[in-house]
Amino acid sequence: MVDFIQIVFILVSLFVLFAMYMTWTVPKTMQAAYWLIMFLVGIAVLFLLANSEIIFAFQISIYGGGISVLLLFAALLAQHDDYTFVGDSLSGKIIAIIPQLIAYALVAFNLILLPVLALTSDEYAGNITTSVLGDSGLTVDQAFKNTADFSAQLWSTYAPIIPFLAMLLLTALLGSVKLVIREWELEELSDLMRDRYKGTDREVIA
Amino acid sequence: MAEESTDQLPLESFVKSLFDPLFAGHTPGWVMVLVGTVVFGTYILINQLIAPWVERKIMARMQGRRGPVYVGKWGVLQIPADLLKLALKEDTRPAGADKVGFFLAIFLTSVTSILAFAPLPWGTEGMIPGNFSIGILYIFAVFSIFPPAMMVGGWASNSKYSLVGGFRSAGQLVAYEIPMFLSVIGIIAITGSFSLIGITEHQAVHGWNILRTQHWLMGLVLGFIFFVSSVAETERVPFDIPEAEAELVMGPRTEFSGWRYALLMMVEYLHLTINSMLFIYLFFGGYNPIPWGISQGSALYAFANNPWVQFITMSVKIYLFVAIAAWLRSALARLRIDQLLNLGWKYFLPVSLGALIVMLSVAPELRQQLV
Amino acid sequence: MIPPEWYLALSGFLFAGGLFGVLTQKNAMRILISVEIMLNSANLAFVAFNGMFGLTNFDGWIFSLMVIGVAAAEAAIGLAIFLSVYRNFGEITVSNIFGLREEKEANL
Repeated sequence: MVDFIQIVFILVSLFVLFAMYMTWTVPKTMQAAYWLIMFLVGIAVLFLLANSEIIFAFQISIYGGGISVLLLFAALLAQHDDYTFVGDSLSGKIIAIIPQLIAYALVAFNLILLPVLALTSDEYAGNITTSVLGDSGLTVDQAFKNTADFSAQLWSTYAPIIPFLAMLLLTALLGSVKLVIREWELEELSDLMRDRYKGTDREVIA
Repeated sequence: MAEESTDQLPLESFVKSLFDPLFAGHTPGWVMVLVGTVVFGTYILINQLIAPWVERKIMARMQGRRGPVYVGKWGVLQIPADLLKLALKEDTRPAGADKVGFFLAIFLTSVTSILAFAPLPWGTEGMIPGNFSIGILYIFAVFSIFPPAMMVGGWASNSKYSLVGGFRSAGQLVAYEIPMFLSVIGIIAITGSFSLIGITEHQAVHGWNILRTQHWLMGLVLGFIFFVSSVAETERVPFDIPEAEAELVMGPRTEFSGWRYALLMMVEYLHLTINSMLFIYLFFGGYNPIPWGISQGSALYAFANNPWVQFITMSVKIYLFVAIAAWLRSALARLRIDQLLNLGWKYFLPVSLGALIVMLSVAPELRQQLV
Repeated sequence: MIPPEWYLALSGFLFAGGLFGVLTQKNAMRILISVEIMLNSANLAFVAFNGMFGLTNFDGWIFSLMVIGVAAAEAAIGLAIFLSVYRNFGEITVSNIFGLREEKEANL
């Protein structure tokens, strides 16, 4: 492990795993949301280490700039007392978690073992020498050429993706706005919500 | 990670000649990046000590007073004195404030503001800390981390006024990011490159984008939209309702004191500098001192490509925009939050979309490619 | 050079972690957060596979871009639904939200 880039990769992946662990165990939803922001920035750095600068830029601007704001607004507007894991006492938590952790370990093991076995076998060993992941000798000209070729391929071979994504996002935008803007009569609400408005004389909740 | 290109530029060979004795002749690429980062980073942070002083003096003279005069000649040392005081203050935190969130807001805003300076060039001949292929996309990406960081800061302060201030700030910033990005897309399309060096070199050949008439003056329209959107993005008057110093104390930044406040003020002036530099690169010709396009054989070419001339031009233009920002701050009143959001969503977004479509359809550079 | 197996191993861990979050969390927002974790792990695998054989074509990157776009749309709709549900029921705990089931099965 003398390669500097490998050490950086290990540190960033440990940070990403730690951020994922914290999204499960922190008590408030807002805290889970900002640990997710740190997770997304960590994944973006991993994209940068794989020599794809443009996916790094997209990841930070769309996930870190767009979806994070969405999640933060929604988490603040839908706040109530949170629970994290099942069970109140420590022994109850452990008993409830063990079968889930066993299932998690089995899934992780299968997901990791099969590709790694395939990649380290003799059949693929010759092809993987052309890998450019973590290439620290990448020149500026090569990086420019990669981005230019990516754009050329996106707009020529895969051009129908762009209007499809545009229609999808437009539909999602209009649909979510229509879903949220609705006025509720007090009779339609559940008992819990009706109790909150009992003292006031509101008839329609917007 | 990325090295400089193989042909040597004069400044680069000068720096390499300094470091070659240490590395037995083969200076690795990361040394160049480190030198660029240290030199330009220091220059930028020194600018953050001078730009607030320039702003305070100009605002003061416009308001009929004199500004800082006591500390140092003409009050030049006022900002370092303020910085020293803030750094030595007690680090307070409200009771019940979320520790990680409180720190994360400061951390994300200050780190991304400094990181955004990497692809900004100060001259043609290699005077850039890091030449990315995605220059301007990278700057917009690190800019877009600012709204969620402000919201986290507002929530983590455990105060409902900070929370509402965080909502307003995020709403305003998200509303004005879209016209800003749209007005840049036209310029990127006619230049054909994301890199800021490429955009500036294009303007060196064809003239400043804001003055070009071949695009039916869409450069002027998009430049105006970009300028106003960047004033909104930096939360300056007339768009500073999240801060609103006379009304809401500091909005989402209320509970941050001491060194956190110093970092947030630095972030505000860093954002002003970055947005001024972006406007200069995209519309005002970057480091070119001459507004019209000059070809290679012209007499002014050597003058315009001298690294010192370009560096001085860049600094003069940045301080010109700091002065314009100070002028706006002392002259204009503040918009209300609903007027501000109306302006962003209902007027700037359609106008920038329309101007973008017009520019893309009449640009001569794009017409050539269709033939 | 980073061995591509490391990227795939990390992607596997993150996917299993996201799946764990979806199956065990009780708050609907955290379930959405875990879904985003799973989508990001898939993106990581795509980018790793794209760079594994030299960068001649960029199919992996383009598909990552599509996944990012679709994730944004899905997050918007999902959060709109959660807000409507919160307005109606007053809470977002998925085991307590029922319209069709009997009340005795709720875990309070």
